[in-house]
Amino acid sequence: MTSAAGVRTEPPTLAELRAAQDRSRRVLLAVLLVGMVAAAIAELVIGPAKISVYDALMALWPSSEPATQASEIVQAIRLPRLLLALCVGATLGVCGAALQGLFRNPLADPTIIGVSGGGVLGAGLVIVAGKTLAPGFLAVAGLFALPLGAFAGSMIAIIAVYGMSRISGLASGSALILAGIAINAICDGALGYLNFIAFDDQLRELVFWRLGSLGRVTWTSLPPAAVLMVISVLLMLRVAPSLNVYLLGEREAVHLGVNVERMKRVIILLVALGVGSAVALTGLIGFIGLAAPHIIRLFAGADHRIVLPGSALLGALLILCADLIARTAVAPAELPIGLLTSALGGPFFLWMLMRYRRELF
Amino acid sequence: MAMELKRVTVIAGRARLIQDVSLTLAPGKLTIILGANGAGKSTALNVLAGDLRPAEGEVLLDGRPLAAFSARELATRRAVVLQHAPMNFALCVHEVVALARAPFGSAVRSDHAEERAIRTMELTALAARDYSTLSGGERQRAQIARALAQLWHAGDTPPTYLMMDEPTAHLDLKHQITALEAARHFADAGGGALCILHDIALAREFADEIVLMKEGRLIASGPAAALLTPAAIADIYGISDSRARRLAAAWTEGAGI
Amino acid sequence: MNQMLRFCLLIASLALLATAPARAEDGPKRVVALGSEITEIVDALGETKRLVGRDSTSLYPPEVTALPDVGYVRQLGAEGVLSLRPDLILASATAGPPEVLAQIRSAGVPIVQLSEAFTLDSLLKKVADIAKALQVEARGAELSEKLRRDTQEAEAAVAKMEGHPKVLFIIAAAGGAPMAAGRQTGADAMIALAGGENVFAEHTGYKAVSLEAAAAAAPDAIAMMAHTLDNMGGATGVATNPALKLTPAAKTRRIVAREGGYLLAFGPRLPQAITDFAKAIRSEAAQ
Repeated sequence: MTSAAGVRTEPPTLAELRAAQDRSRRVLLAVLLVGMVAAAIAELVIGPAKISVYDALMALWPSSEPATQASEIVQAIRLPRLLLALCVGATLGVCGAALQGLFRNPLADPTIIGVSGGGVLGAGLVIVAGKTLAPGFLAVAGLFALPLGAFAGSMIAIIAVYGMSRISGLASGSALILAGIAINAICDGALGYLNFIAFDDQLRELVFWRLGSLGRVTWTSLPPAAVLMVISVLLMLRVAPSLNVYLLGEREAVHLGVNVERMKRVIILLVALGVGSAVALTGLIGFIGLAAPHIIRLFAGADHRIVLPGSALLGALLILCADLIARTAVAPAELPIGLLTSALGGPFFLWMLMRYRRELF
Repeated sequence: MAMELKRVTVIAGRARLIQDVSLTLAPGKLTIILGANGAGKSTALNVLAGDLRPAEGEVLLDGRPLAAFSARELATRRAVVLQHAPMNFALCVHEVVALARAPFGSAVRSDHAEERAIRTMELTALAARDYSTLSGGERQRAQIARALAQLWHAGDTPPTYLMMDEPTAHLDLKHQITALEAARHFADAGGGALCILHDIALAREFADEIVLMKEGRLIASGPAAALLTPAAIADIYGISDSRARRLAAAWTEGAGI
Repeated sequence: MNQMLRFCLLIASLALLATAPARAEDGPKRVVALGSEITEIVDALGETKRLVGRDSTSLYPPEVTALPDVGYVRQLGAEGVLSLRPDLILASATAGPPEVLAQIRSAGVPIVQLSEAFTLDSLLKKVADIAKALQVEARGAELSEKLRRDTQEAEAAVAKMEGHPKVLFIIAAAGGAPMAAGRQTGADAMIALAGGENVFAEHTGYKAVSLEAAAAAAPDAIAMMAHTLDNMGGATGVATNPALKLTPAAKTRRIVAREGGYLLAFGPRLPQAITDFAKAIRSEAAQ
């Protein structure tokens, strides 16, 4: 019973604690969902081309009337871009959270530890070398060639980072960041070499990958990568309980029945698949994978059953907000969204470094 | 029905961490391993827990080799508390204890076991606290509560085993006793408990069975009263006979009060 | 008086507007030009008034800088371009990315993408194509004729000039190593038209270069874009650059810097550019 002053004399029971926690998590997810839907509508409605809310939303319904330019802009440009933003944001958020769980390090982020860089290199190799060295692969893989190339690059990068951070010490924050620096440097060097040998038209493609943008997506290129990203996100959500146990430590997780080696393989595979597909369509978009999970943890704690879905929603929300700025700030020109996320994410990363300096280094 | 090491040798590089160790962890008993640093106590516990594969010898659970059990099956039969490791992420205490459900999945319908474990380890007031803000001792208690909940979720049959590596390391005297009482009650309820301790007085107070280890070998095992002679203590810790005798006298006196 | 005049103008323009439907077949009214040479050609055809937008490299003539800028020609955004409600896009071969052009097309706006080669013929073809797209073929033919005549005159003048100076053409890579122009570049073509010899001709495209290696070829002149010269610390910076200071070009201070859109884009200012560059690599001594 509560006294007149509202102070409880006995602590809440476990059931009460859980109920309160569940309630606040549901509220958080609902707020994120509403925010994301609002941002999604804004993405459809707001843009350099002035289109009324009514026209923009009506353009989504199939109609027998002849297409207007407004409806064409919404259908051919804004809608695929919105879907890409949702997929990429959710993927980067979830993959960031999963990587942080895997490395038990809140600073792990696909761009910081080189997973995105590996993907860019993989995509670059497909563009520059694929046409001469493996035309058969391009013919067979078709639209999947770029996502698969990026996937392979991301995969190699993440395995290399994991191996290096393993060898150099247990879950040490600095080892991970240093390994990431090394991987990024290698990828950058290799990409520089590709730049050197590339023909002019290929060079244009490579430049694009270093500065992420959502602006290139079309209805042809979206589906293959989107399918891979959705698969990556949905399957990753199922890893949440194991990741929770893994927070205790590797041996503790084994003692609690988690098949740790399998869990690691699944996470590495899904991260490479998701990040690779995202990179193949958008290029480098940094720090979403760092910021989204961190913000969710600030509000809801470290339980991956909330961190993973929360990061998916928040990642999508952050990307949509950034894209809104990217599309409108210098209209009719457009800023690369990668530039924006880095400009905002860099200071955020520094702040986290300061915050975790004692625990991690 | 027991967990057993049969003539187990563990080799790391060229070093033999333990050699020819045979040990039975019987249901209904609290077994305590004593020995100097590096005597192979933790290695023995790690082998029993299934973390280390022996180079020679067998590890058996109910007569079956441990390697024949899946990680999940093992998790329903034994719980392990290691010496504490830091955690960079903020789970709260009741969430850490609830990780005990992991091996059982949706089969767990009530949080009775977790509630009881939190009460047993006197964590009720800390249940909503962020684990990463706890002191070393509080973390240790949360880990013990988690292990207890894990085994209580599993139920009494077949018998389950609780293994703790220096569970009292960061605890004050009161909570040292709380932890060992929990192990004691666990054994009394039909489980097999194994603790590594450095406190001979506490070992004497709580153990059904004492195991003495030195330089990777099992020197002796048996009831505390018979085993913990001043000579044995002097031998396994490498201290002088006279000091061992004085300390032993103090402990016995204490135990007699 | 003034008021009266304004009123008359208003009436006149209203009258013009009233006749506008009848002139609809006169071609597109809202044109976005992507590429500096495209913008220049539109201007040379006297059709600047039709432009509603341009890319960030289109800086000549100065009037066009007042037009909305849709961004770097290789990094366009579809919606930004469409927001200008164009009825025609004139795009250089470098305009992209291709997916963005596809998006613009799928929104129903025609794009005329012009082929690119660093020759007079290519320029004339661009002029003809643009004139056709703007439905001013007659003026296009006039312009072509003038450009052909002027270029031939310029080439004849160059042929009379003395010597075949060896030229090193540097463009700046943002923040990185300088890059030199090899074959199949606008710079290489311009050097050839100006009767010079490209010291970096064994390579293709713009390639990062060690200045030392470039200097070993002993260029008589060093050419670059105007902003590259600023990056390298002006003519003094180039002449005192450790790798370059022993070259004949540095000793005689024959360092040539021009706007890229003028020198390298092969637009309608090609004849002037040829004559100017030919003279410069033979005589120009920057301070």
